[in-house]
Amino acid sequence: MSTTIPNRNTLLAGFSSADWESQRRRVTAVLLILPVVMMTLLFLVPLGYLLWLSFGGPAGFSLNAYKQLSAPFYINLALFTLQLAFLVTIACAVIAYPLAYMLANIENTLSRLVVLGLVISLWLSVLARTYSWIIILQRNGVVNNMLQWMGITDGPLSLVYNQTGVYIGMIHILLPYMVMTLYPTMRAIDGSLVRSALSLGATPWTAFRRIYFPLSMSGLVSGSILVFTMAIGFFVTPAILGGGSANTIVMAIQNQVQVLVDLPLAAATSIILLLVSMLILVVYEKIAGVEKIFGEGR
Amino acid sequence: MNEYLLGLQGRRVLFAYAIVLILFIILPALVLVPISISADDSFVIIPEAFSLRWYEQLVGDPRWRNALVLSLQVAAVASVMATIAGVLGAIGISRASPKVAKVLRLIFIAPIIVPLMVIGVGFYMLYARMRLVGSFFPLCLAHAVLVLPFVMLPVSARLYSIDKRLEWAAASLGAGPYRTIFRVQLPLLAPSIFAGFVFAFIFSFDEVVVAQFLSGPRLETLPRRMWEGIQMGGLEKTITAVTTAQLLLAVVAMLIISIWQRRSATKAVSSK
Repeated sequence: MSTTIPNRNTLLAGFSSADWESQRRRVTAVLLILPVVMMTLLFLVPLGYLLWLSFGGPAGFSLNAYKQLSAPFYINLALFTLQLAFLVTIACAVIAYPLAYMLANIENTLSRLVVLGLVISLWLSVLARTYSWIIILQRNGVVNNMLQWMGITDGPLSLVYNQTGVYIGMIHILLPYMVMTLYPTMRAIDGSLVRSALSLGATPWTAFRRIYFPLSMSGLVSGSILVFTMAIGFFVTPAILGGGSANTIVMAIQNQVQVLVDLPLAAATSIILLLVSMLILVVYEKIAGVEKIFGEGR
Repeated sequence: MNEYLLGLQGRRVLFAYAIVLILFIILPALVLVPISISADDSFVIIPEAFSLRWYEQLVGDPRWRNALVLSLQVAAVASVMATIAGVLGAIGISRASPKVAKVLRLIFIAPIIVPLMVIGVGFYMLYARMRLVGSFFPLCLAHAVLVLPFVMLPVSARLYSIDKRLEWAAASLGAGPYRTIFRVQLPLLAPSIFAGFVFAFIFSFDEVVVAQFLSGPRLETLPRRMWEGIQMGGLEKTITAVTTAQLLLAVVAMLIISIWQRRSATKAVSSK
């Protein structure tokens, strides 16, 4: 085969490159007008309005709303939300790691079934999955019947409308995101590195600890950031499965709007939460690069 | 097989672990299906008699039917808007300079990073001031922004895997820039655009947090109706019919996408 692969210059021979570039830039701008206007009017403007309201809005500048947020009630709420998100993230990481390892390294029917299950779960409505967990975990639900039938417990355990239910539901919903972030990283690990460590006399445990685990670390970090962010903002699952025992910041915001009707307070709480999630996004950008989510450089 | 660390014993443990986890992962989906087709009111997993009465109620009962129709309309309008904007945005970002692209990516990904509650409250307060709460089209606009990233992500991923030389080749053969996009890029992007549209549709159809703020007393979307039913104790079995129907639709869409992608992949290989 002696055909030369055409490159940019041969393909664009005969075009003035300055003309081509300026026309290309103009077209790019035209393409971006609609989406940028849409994001500005429907995303940046509402959030900007929220920022303005949180500092007093039409009543004039005031830090009142933010002062209210320093009350112990809100501090405890924030701490509980962070604790919930943190524990769910750790649990997802620990549960997902062996599963992603299997998907990345072993190709068999079982791996394909796991992928199918994860995709179905990911596509099934969050509301539906949360509802389903009530049916499964309730006092005469599947799990309790099973436990009693096997003689493990005498009476029904209360597994739902408390924090146990919230943890089970949230781990179930966020687990697929962790596996799907870990998988490409593990898939990209060069198997010959592990093999050479083993052939040089390392035990499998040492090879894992010194070679495989450090190489999989970036996936673990980006997956954890993703799951943590989603867990902080979770509303449906803790609100339904918690039965009032797992109150998070987002539930407080809903209460401020619909029950207390304290709009500046709700705006200030939202702005704090917005800042936290933007901060996490920037950290993610620094560590992993947002372009990875967009599929570049994979 | 690419696995060297575990040994036979370890692999067996891993397989057992995977089987347990598959059960955990699909249990909620599995439980809903038999309950939705059982005739009686109870929530037993193995029904004694089958009936489609809960599905009949979904389309027969006016409150459920109206909610279903409204949600289908909102999801359709929102995901069409998001698909148009998302495809334009994805192509635009792929052509922009690295610096501009970086900023735009951060902004366009934000709707899935910022908690729905925050976006919902922002819209609610702005719409309340503009007297738009409880109107159909503003609700669609809000959903369109929420689901925009779901279109952009698969389309961007596909764009990066398309050979960039195609654009130059089209230009050298005399195609104008818009013709290149419509006749060369869009056909190659079609499966990913459809996937993005389906993601967007499913998300909008399922969205309750923003909808409960913006729908007001008159517009009751299906998730809001379900939400209310669940808060009342969740004893309305129509909810299980809704979720089973959603599950079926998702599985069908997934099959279409995977077949389509496999087909266009083999086409690309055979034409080389």
